[in-house]
Amino acid sequence: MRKSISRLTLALLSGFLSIHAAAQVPRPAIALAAQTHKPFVPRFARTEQNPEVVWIDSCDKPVYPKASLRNEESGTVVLRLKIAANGAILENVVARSSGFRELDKSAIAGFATCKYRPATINGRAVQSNAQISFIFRLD
Amino acid sequence: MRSLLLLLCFPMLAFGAAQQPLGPVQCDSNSTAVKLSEGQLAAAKQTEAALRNGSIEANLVNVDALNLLALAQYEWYRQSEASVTARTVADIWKREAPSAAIAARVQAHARQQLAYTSCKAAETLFDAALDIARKAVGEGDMLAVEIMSDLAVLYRVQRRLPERLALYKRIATALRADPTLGTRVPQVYIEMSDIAFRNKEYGEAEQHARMAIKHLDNGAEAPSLALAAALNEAAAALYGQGKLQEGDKLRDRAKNIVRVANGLGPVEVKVQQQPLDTVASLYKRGQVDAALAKALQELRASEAKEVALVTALTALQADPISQQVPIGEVRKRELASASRAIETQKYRTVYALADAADIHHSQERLAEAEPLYRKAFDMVADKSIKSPIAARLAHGLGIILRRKGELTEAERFQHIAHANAQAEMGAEHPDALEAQVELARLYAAQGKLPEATKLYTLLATREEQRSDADRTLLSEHLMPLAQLQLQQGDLAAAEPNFVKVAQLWRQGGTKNDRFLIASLEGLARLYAKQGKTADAKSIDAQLAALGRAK
Repeated sequence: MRKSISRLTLALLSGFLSIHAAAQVPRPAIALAAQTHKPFVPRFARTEQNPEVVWIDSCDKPVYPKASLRNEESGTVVLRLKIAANGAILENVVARSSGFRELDKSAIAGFATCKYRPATINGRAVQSNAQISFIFRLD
Repeated sequence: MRSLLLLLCFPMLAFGAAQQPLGPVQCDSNSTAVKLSEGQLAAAKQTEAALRNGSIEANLVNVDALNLLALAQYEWYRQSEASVTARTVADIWKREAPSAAIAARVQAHARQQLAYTSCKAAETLFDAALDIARKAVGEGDMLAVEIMSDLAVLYRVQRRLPERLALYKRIATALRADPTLGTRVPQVYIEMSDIAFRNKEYGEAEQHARMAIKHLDNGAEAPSLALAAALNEAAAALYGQGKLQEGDKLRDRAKNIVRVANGLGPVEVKVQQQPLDTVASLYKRGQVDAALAKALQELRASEAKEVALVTALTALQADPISQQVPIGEVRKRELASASRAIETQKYRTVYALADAADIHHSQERLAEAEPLYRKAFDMVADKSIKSPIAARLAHGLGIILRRKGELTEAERFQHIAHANAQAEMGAEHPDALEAQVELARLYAAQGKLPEATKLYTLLATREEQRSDADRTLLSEHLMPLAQLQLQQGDLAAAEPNFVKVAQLWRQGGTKNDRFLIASLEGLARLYAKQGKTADAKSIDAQLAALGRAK
């Protein structure tokens, strides 16, 4: 009985430690028997969920800077955020400027305060990148 | 009308997401402030003139008119004068004998200033109101707590975290002394939750949010939006602690409350909209051949477009205007733009190659997959190391090479995969972890036992420390680790790892589970090596029982 279970165990264990008879290897590899391997699953087949702002009202809203209003500055700021697996913002940078420094600064100052639900892969929280476009428009 | 619009584009390369308007902008923004009426502005002008010619005095009789003047001065872009007038209003009130009624009136003035986004004036008046309230009724009174809460909102708008934190401590002291205050001003707990969250104290943030929920959740048919806010605060705090499912439940409830409040009705079922004919969706539905055909079609289209773009750039470069020295700015920009378009298209080709390679790989067609991986990898290899696609390609290629027995080369690619994934997505990202698992396998396969042991130890420790630790993943790290330790004669280290796996699968596992059998088998061998005959026999008996059950 012990022997048969042992064979089964070794066969199952070999999924973890993949062994190849390797002439190039000077030291003997772990002596596990027959090899099975986990099927390869493409990354696009994973169940992925993107990060989300928990609640838009919880963000400190970007302010239209007074000087920008006076100078009639407008434009779109594209922010790139790196969001940690706990929803915290690790990095925020201007990926594309509006062309006006004050507008860019205002957008960052606002959106750096949002709270995020982290991205998930197969249900587990992971670090991710997100992009936010913010439009300052004078109608 | 001046407007601010927000466009959230997730994931990073997703374009064209729908635009949605953002709510009103707060503090110090005339663009979205409530505006004074013509009548109010005229009255403020009269007050200003009367003050100037001495027909009225800055005293209690005229205090409301003065507060209105401060608002008007703010609206006329005369912020400094507005601050001075607000200071005058505060001084008038401070000259009176402190009372709760006066504190409440000053608070009302301050709130009015805040509504008009005149933050400096609002702060002056809130400070005065708090001072009067403390003298009249003490800081533990509900009025003082309300004023502190208002001030905390102002500090939040102004992003003054240190001042918010100091205020939060004072509010917390008052609430501890008299918990009934929280029942009367539950919003204070929402504010306190937010402050704790910003301070990265997620557990505390959750507690405060739950207190707010407790006070606000009165079973009303139409729950208040404040309850939705509290639920969202709690959800964010739970996400911060890695409790995704718990957070999602609260957030879903908050969404329903908001939908009902907006007359949309509750959301009963979440429907994930997914395009039907993408490579991923076809593959996920099991239509592997269709997915491959789609990937190859995209590949051909991308390569054709790349050729067209290169041809266009060549023609542009050959144009006489491009040959001029110095070259004109417009042409310079056109050439740069054409080069960027080719680079972007190249990446589309790389992704299409990766998709096709992955599909072949998943179907065990390694000979078809390998050249596609190599072609794609060569296209990105000279680019930035921080590239998730380079990590994906190196990982897939590394696995194929391992299976072909080319272990040294496989290890080289897995190192690239790990470095890329870690740099771009962090050490805990599945892409980085998968590369590490492969590296550990490769070390073990090459007889580099200490390296393999170290890596499996790291992987197992990481998984154990997760709040959502997965026993299958943990066992996948612990079992080879214990085997390696046994192999190297480190029996003392191997034993607890085998035991850990056995315990993981005894609790709620099926009796014939592979991990349980493997761990017991490992323990039996370990005890036999240690000469612990009785323990070995006990394990044998357990294995025999499992065998019978099976």
